[in-house]
Amino acid sequence: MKKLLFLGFAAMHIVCIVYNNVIIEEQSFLRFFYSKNEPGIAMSAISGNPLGYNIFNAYSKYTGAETGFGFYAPNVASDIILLQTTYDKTGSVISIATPKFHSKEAKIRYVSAMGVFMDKIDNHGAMHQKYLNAILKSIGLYTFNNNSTCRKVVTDLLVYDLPPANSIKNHAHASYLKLGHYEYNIK
Amino acid sequence: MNITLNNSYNKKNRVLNFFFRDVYDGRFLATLRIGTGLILLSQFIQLLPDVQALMGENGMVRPDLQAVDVPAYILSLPRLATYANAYMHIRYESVIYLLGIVYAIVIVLLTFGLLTRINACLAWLLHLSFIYSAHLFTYGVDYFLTALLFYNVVFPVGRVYSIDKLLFKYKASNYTPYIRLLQIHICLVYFISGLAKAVGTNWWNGMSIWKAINRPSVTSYNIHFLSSFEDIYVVAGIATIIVELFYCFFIWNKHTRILWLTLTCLMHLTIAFVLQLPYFAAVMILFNIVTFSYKPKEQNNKNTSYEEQGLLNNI
Repeated sequence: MKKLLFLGFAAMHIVCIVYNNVIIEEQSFLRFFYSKNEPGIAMSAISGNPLGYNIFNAYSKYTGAETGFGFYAPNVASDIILLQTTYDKTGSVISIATPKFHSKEAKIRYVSAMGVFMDKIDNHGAMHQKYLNAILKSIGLYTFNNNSTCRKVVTDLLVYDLPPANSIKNHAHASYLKLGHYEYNIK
Repeated sequence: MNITLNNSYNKKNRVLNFFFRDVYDGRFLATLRIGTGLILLSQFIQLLPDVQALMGENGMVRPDLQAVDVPAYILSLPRLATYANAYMHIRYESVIYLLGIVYAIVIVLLTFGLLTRINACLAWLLHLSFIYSAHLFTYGVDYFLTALLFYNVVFPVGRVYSIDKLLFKYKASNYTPYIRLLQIHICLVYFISGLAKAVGTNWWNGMSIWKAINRPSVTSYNIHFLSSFEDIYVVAGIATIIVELFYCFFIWNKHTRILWLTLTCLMHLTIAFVLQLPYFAAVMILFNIVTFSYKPKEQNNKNTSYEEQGLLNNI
């Protein structure tokens, strides 16, 4: 009986891991190759049953079975750079910088968080755009809170566009494409 | 009819043999527990100075914004803080510090193996609470650590090289089923990863490696002069696909296991240094050591009875 229970648990756990990865990979392929943001077949099949979907989701989140294994596949995403220019009350520039952290690990996490702004390129709906703008505003507010002389923050959201190695060899240049420009003031 | 019955009986027997034949001792469980504990503790200490920025009430991304995608069944910090404030009048920041202290203590206790299951459970729930409170700032390592902590909860990791083992008398146990599940898990990790890379073109033409080493978050210098070595990026990309995609074939064969384990660990060490993802590399190397670095008992004892049956090659 114990053996049967273990085999049942192992089979369910493995199925969960595989199914989550089928969902994740299908979504990322649809997005990368066809620029589609709609749910794929695997996602639609399970989300049609809300109770089953919730149980599956909860189990996956608690056990780590939701982890996607396609590290940097099918493509290494371009870095998003959030450049903040801060101004004092006279309108002089205090600094032009990206947010600072004490530890390298926090910086890695910040870079990962910036990936969310890739959604600014694709059409994810007005609500999602509002959510992304709220995040940008929150980062701006954090800069105000950490710099008492700051009266204005200008945020530029840039995406790093790197040509292939052979193009660089033929004198092509990397560039920063602007995704957005936002200004926040304290009156 | 007889042949079909025989075949299904053989298959059932092979599955049972694979999972339940007692061939591994419990050292891998101790490595899993101690390794997970050390990585969590090191990561916790490194992140301490930035806790406020990542998950504080006045952090970079406000807690209510980070909680948008977090389902109700996850007890994230904003939810815990709401209860703590309502019933005990404890502030948000104090909840973070209080839970941080408890987290550090339970990780240490888990590492030493004292009241292991209770502490593994607490560490697992607190880890989930923390990562979903700084949801936007998470990456692959957090989810792998969740999986490893989950295994620490469900597997008897406190029975080997632990304080619990000194305090309680445990009966001898068969640990093989646990390592089998971990082995299948890690094979899936690399097979899916390799397959996902192989389907696109960027890992075949070197573009992915070129992009990875040139990310502004990785290097602050202009290294475009390295564009002349494009063949190296093609080879590195294809080698990554081969190592990952064929991991689940070569790791099971005792003749190629050491080679594949070395290649995989080298790949992760390269990721640690080139892409500056040391914790991710540490977790993956730990996962590899736990699952495939320990020899089955028969191989250790040079007992050939299974070799004679031709079974050992498949272990």
